[in-house]
Amino acid sequence: MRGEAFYKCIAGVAALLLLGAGCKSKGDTGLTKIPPTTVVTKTVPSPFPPNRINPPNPFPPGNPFPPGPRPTPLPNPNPPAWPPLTEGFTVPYDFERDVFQRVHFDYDSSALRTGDVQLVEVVAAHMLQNPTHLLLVEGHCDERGTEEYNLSLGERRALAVVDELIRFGLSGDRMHTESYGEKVPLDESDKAEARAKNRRGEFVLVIPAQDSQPATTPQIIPVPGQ
Amino acid sequence: MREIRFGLYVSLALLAIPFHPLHAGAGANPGGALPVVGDAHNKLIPVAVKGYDGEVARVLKFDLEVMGCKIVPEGDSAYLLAGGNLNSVNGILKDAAGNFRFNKRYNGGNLRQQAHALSNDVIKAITGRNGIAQTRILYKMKTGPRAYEVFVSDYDGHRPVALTSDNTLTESPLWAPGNGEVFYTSWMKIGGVENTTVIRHKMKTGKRKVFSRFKGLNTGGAVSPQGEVAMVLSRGINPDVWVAPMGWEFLKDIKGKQLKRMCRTNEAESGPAWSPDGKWLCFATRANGRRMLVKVAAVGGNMIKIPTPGAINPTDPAWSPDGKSIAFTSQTGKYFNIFVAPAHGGKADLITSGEGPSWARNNRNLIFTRRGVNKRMLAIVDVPTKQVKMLPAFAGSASQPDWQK
Repeated sequence: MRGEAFYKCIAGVAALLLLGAGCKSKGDTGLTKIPPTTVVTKTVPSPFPPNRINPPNPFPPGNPFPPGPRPTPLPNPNPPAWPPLTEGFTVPYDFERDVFQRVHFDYDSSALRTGDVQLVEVVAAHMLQNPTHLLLVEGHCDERGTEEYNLSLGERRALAVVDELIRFGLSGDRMHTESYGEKVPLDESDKAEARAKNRRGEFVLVIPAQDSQPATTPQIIPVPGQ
Repeated sequence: MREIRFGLYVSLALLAIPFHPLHAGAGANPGGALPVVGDAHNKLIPVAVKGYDGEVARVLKFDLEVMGCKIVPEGDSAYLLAGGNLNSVNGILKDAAGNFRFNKRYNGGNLRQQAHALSNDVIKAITGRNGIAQTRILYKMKTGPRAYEVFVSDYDGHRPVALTSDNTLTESPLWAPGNGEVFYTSWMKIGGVENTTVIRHKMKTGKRKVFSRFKGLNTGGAVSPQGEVAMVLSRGINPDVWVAPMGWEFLKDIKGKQLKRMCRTNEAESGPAWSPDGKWLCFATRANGRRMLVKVAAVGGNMIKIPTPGAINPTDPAWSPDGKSIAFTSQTGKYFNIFVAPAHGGKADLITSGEGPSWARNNRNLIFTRRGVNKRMLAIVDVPTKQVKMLPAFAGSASQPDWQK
């Protein structure tokens, strides 16, 4: 019973606060005057722990990435770049798929998930350590969306990943994007999990054939000063 | 009085046709005068067909139903088509009052083509509009786990011919005005590099050319009557709509300096479609988190919203050949519906479920894709009556149809 009275009291205070807030905006019109309710709020302690409603943001505002310098590219006198698309590769290249983990996207969104930034960082680290390697970033969608729309959306997703890689210090010339829209699904079943799996970005490593060797596990370059 | 018994259609037949020659309204309506008034435009025309069998009977039924008729027993019909298909197709058309309309016999081609010609003549005689039974469509069909090919066929899906055999992904085949060329997007490898490429394909010779192969996304390939080509290109930055001038050649302008950028956004544009006069370009984009249709003047300028109240998430616009309306796809979750709205925007009318509409030249029929279980199929709707006819199933999943211009 005591608890109930307590919550009623809380509810009453909340209602008063709401009323106060609602009328405050009208206060300037001079039609009504509501007595200030701040006195009441002082007498009732909040039943919730201080930060319950607004937990501290784990990331600094505006930039979800840890502070500090980004890994710098290794010096490379002849930076590799994708060949002109009209000519193609003059030397053989191997395409290695699934070396890196895929990133995933929300429905109808091309924003990189904060949790996937680490996966992109692994790719960036590998690319910075292997300056002869090139990268193809593929964007894929689920089947909810017309084919033309999904094609553009997939490109947006691939470019979102590329933008992140550029932020980690990679040259844009070493990366290509390719959108497949909804045409290459991983799982064709009509389930939410299948669709979540299909909304993805994939990395394809493009390695000069003579450099090709057993793929090593990519490591994150330790950020100096941490 | 038979007019009363047979209602509006007969009165139309008796009154409208004799006093309004078929060419009378050609100025107001390029498709031909419509000898129909009021609600009759939105109602199925009851036609009885007798004397045909086998394939010819099936073709006549399909054609007439596509173009806004319904096949009924002789007593209930407003028109009677009687004839035969022994050796060649012939037919006599009379209205319900017994007035003779025509008596025609066809030769050349095969029986199926003759039946299409007869359907067109029937529609022309009844409505004054040109029929679309002898037109062709372009579509893509899935031929393997990672392969689509471009096909061209009669509008009813018969006589399909593969235009490509690249064994690769393919997207959005589109006719160019004049129907002598088609444009499509291919993921073909050139020099070991796979990249989306807009291909220009001459129908007569089969010769084709890389039309656009910039870094990133290259798709679209919608040609205006003036010969400008609208494409969605990302060029390594962001998918935006670009327009290539007439006679533009990719290999002579690899940096794309002659291209005109029609928008500059951070969103994914898609589905560029020209107005029939080539003065406006419509496409789907997004602003403030909402997908919408916009148009931009062909000479460039701001994006102008085409409001489509009643239809959310509009994409894949298609401008009708008379310029009056825009058909598009509206998406709700995994469900797709086709709507038609006035070209300047306004209340959108739900036509049927499906996606990716393309207009026939009669301003009446739309061909579109419907998703079935594990398979996409083509279907045609008669917009005023909303009557849907499914095309016969193809071997593979068929989608993105484009009707001959």
